Amino acid sequence: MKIQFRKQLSRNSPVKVDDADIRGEGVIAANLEQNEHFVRQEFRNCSDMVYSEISTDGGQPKRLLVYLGTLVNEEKVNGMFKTIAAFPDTRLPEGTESENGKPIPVGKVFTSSKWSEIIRRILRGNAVLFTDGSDKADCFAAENMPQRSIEEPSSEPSIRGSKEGFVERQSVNVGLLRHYIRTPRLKMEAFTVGEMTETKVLVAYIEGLADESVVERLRNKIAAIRADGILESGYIEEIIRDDPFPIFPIFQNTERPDVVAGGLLEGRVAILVDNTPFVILAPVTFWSGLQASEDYYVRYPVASFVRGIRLLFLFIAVFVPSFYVAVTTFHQEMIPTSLLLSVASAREPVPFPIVLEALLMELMFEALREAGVRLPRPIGQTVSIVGALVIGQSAVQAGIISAPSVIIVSMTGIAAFLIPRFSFANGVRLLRFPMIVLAGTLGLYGIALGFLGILLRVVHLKSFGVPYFTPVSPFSKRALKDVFFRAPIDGRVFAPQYEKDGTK
Amino acid sequence: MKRWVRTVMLSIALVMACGCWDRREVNDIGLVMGTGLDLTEDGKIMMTLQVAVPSPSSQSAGGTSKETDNFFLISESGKSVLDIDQKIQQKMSRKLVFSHRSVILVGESLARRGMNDFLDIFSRNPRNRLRTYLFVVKGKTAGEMLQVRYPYEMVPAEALKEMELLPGAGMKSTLRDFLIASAGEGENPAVGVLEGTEMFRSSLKGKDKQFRLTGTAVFKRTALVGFLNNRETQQYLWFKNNKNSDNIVADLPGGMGNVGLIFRSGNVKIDVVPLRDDFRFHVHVTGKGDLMENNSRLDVTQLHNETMVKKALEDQVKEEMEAFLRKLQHELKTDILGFGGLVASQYPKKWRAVGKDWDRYFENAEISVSVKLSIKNTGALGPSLQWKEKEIVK
Repeated sequence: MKIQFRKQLSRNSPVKVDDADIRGEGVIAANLEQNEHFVRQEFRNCSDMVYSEISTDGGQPKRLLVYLGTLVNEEKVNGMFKTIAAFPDTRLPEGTESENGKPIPVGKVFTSSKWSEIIRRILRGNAVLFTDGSDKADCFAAENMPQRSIEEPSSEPSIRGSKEGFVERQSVNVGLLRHYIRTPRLKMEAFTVGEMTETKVLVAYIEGLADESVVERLRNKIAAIRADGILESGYIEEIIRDDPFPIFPIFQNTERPDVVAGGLLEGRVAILVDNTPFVILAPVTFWSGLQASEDYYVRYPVASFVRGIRLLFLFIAVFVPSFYVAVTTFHQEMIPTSLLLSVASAREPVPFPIVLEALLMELMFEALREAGVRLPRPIGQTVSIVGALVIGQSAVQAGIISAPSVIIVSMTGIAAFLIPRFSFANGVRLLRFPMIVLAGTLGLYGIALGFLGILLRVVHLKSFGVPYFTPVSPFSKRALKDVFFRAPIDGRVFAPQYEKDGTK
Repeated sequence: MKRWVRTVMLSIALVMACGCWDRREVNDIGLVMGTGLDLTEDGKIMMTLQVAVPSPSSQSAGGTSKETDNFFLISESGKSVLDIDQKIQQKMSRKLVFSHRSVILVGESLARRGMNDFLDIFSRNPRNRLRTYLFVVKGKTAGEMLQVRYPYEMVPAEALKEMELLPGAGMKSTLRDFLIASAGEGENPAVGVLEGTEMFRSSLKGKDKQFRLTGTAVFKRTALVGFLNNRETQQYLWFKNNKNSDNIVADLPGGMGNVGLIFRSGNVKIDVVPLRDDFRFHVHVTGKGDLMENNSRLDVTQLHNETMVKKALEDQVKEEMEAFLRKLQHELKTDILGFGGLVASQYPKKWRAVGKDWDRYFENAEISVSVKLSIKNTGALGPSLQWKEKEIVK
């Protein structure tokens, strides 16, 4: 998908021809016609490009304002128009300053003579004013930001806590964060990534809290990204990961400003990417996959209980289907007699082996889930009805699937939904399938092997230098109290989970 | 990436190649719930298996709802259990699985001949459970007993297991207990007894066959020598530390009526006194219980009345215990209580001399009994409610 996308872009790119001109330090000429020709050449076939000459009373140098009509705010440009027309003088009035020698009081002005810079400005929604006889152009910030209103984040709703979610505009997101953390120590380092998309990427952290080595690592990795386009923070995640086969996420992504603010206060680093409401947090640990921001907003015994439930259901999500398969195909003596009799009665009409049955049902469940996510909401309900009735009931009544399998699959389905971090839950869901195959071929021995494999993987994994299983391994007693239980909040709330003892 | 693909492919091949071979689907096994063993007339062993038939539950029946049996019996005779197993397997479309067998019934005649002929396979084969309950069937063959339907449970063998698990139901003996007692020094095994009885149907006229637990089968080594009745079995349970719901009723002196006690716990301590060429044992019985019945005019909350009641109860226990021990010593002549074991552990030198001939020494041993009971609770009442104030004996 990614490769295809890249090819497509380069094939249709009109900029390609004059690439060298732009990247090479081309400088604008002092001749307006020559400049206009160059711009028209660059932006040929761009129907939304506006060229408007500013007529003056003669004797004045001719001036040309160019901008992309779809990116600028018309009102701003109109105002600018009037102001520029009203200041026909090229001389500098007393007391005012302008980089181009022309006093033009219309907001942010930037003057440049480099084509590369000017074209970048135009593409960022600036209006650029060329003046005949001048080898510099004035760029006015006039961009119009199409913007969704701030809504409750649909991927992470909460009962208690902020209902604000990030939006697609990075500046708004930064503003939201600044509302949470009002300290100049909150740093925002800017990067531009993507040759075509020129996406703005911000690395945010709190100086003194964040581990400098982690920040440095991220800085280097992001600066080193070479890509045609970055459309979502997921691209960044994938490009800068260390892990060749990422089942478990080594990033956390969230739509919630309070989660990011919490993460920053814990000493994590946030990566804000323009055009997406999803902000990345790193480093993360295994256990943070089981924590929700709301844990800290409700009373701690309740939150601790919920955490316990999540851990239990994490195990259920990964191991219960495989355990069922192993025990019923290999180790019947492990099941209590009466339970075995009911399982056996339910299985009597079923023609498939249990492994196949379990795999079929799990796949069916995944299909239903995926269909429900992608489909428009009204149709999504139809899918769930079909799923519940056809798969759930009819299959059992027809004797094609046994009722215990349906129970097991629904149980694991629900269990996976209990994991608060979506990307973490996806990884966990994936693990079920190899586990079922192992259980169906090697029995409990296979489950033990699979468990060992998962454990090895998790313990081996690092998220930007922080071991994934911290603080269980490497063990840290102090940090452990906020892992399985939610410790009562005292003076210092945000003790970093991965902090090494005594380093701070 | 290539390395990854190769690793994944290899492990799939590995798992597929070496897995699955001992796969047994639930609907490819025949679950044996109980085994009955009898002696045939020509001296062979007749084995009957009760095999569960898992029938689809009513909601997944798929139309036809016919009344099917939840179990069937299959039997064969032969020299040894393994021999019979093979013959039976030839009649079965599913692999026989013994892991869920909960009871083994042994017919009286076979038990009298001795258990040595067939006991080994039940412990040697790891698919068997040592926690299987062992019964001796009295008055019928074990095979007949397995035919009896039980209304509560799908498979009657399950009912037998549940009966055994009830507190105070009677003698509780598993295969493991039997083997330990049989191999132990100065000890002999005892197992529960099953007897046929009848039950009335609720709707139709007529009776159904039933089984009930009646007392204890007493063994000398591995051969059956006799039976204890239910009352005697309760005495035996004192020694097994399993005295948790026996009821005893004792008459009060002077025809005042009787009182009943439910035991909550009981303990027996045996003192061994070696004499020159004989042994004397002293059995200290201590028990705790709640007074549950008081068919007299006594106000049992009064201390002197309680003492009297307690005395009557203690006398009753003592009397029953002495009768029980007499029966063991002189009638059955087998030491199932482990007196010999005590001698062996406390006086090993003496045991070496008498061990071989312990049954005779046991018969001649002098056993005295002392009983100490404590009444923990007399219930909500002092005297019974029906008495007028002046009739109550304070």
